[in-house]
Formats: sequence, C-alpha cells, structure tokens
Amino acid sequence: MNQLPDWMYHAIEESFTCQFASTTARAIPVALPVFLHYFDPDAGTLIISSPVRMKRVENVRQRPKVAILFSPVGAGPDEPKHVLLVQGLAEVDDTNLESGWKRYFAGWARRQPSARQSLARMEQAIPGYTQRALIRVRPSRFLGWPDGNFQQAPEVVEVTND
Amino acid sequence: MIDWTEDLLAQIAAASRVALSYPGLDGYPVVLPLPFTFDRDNRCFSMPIPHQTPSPASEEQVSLTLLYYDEQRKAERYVLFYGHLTETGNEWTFTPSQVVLPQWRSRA
Repeated sequence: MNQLPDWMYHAIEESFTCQFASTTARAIPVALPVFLHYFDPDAGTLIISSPVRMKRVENVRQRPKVAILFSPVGAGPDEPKHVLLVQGLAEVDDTNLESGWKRYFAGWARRQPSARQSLARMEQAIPGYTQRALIRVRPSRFLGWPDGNFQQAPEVVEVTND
Repeated sequence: MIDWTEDLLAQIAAASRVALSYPGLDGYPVVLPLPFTFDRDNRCFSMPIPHQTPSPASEEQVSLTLLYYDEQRKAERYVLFYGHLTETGNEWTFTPSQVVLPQWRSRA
C-alpha cells in the first residue's frame, strides 16, 4: 500500500475510539463508536470485532463499502487533533466467534485497559457480547484533515496495491 | 416519531460533538465529526459545512450520532438519530425523524 503522511499513522495508532460506519438495509450509513483492534501499516488492513448478532455484521456482509472515522473524543490532552476518514471494503470473518477476536484483543485493551475486567460484566448485560465476528477493512481511500482543520481541503490518499 | 423526553434533551445538551453520516457519490459512507447547535424549539441540529467535503448522494439517507465521552467508564457513549439534511448557506440542518438508544442504556 502507498506510504501515508506520518500524521495519518499517528491519528490511527493513537486513537481512543473510532466511528465505524456501515450501511443499513435502508441505505443509510450509520456510524457507531468501536475500539480499533489492529492496524497493519504495510497492507493498510484495519481490524475490529463486533458481537455477531449486531446489525453491523449483516450490514457489512450485504454492503461491504464502509468507513472508519478517527477524531478526538475528549479522552485527554494527548490524543491527536487530526481527523481521518478511511473508506474501504470490509469482510466478515465469523469462523471462530468464541476466540478468533482474542488474537487482536491487545489493541482494544491498549485503548481501553478496563476491557480486560469488564468483558464478563458486558456478557451478562448483553448476552452474546463475547461471541464476536472479526471485521477486516481493506482501505480504498484516506481523507484527512491535519489538526482537524476543516477550513482546508482534505488531504486525500487513494490506495494502490502494488 | 420521537419522544423528546427531558432525559433525551439532557443527553443532547451533554454531548460534545456529533458524527454526521451520509452516502457519498461513490457509495462509500462519509462520516464527519462536527460541532453542533441544537434548536430546542424546532428540534433540529445545525452544523457548519466543512470546506470541500465529499458531497452527499442523498439528503434523505442520513444519520447523526451524538457522542460524548464517559469519564467514569472510560468509553464513548452515543445516541443515534435518523433523519434528513438540508443545506442553508454554510450550514447543514439535520432534522431527526427517529432515535435509537443503545442497548446498554435500555438495560440500565
């Protein structure tokens, strides 16, 4: 994949949550907060997981064009001010709902350390919470606003896979 | 039809920002984090239109995610609205028609 500007890597790696947008059956994009699990800077692949019963999973199966937004959430002074929108094609991996996602859990726990303790509580509150499909996103385009400055045109990187 | 309860209005007041989502011309979703104001009388949100953003393919197939950081739980919370978008000068106005409260709230 193309080399991205340094600040785009920073926006992804130092993010707290990101907003994952899938498209509903009524063709409406819906963005909800998730924790990024993994980013491969060479291939560009981004990985999240989702309870398999969430509509998001079926949305991705049926309509694989998705977007992920990275932007400050107010979690602290150290988070990047950059805004980065990644558009790409997603695929669902539901081959191992029980533990497939745990291979990538470190990235989630780095962003939300309390997740290691709260998973059992979440499973009680929302049955099926830990039956999770992996969603892999292959980026098609990065649109970014350094320092979140929307008065400038976005920097755009179209992805070419050599 | 939205039940504009005091609880919902309080959540809107507590939110720090919104993520506006609409379909782009090439079929990919576009999501933008924007500052907003909420008009309590007309029940609509106003947001500045960023410079040179991708154009919406539809102003009817739009959603707005109200976001706020939960310091206690160290997580980001949301309320989701469906609705439609109109453009007036340098502003977008989003008028909600449906609200979705996340599962964790309804079980609280």
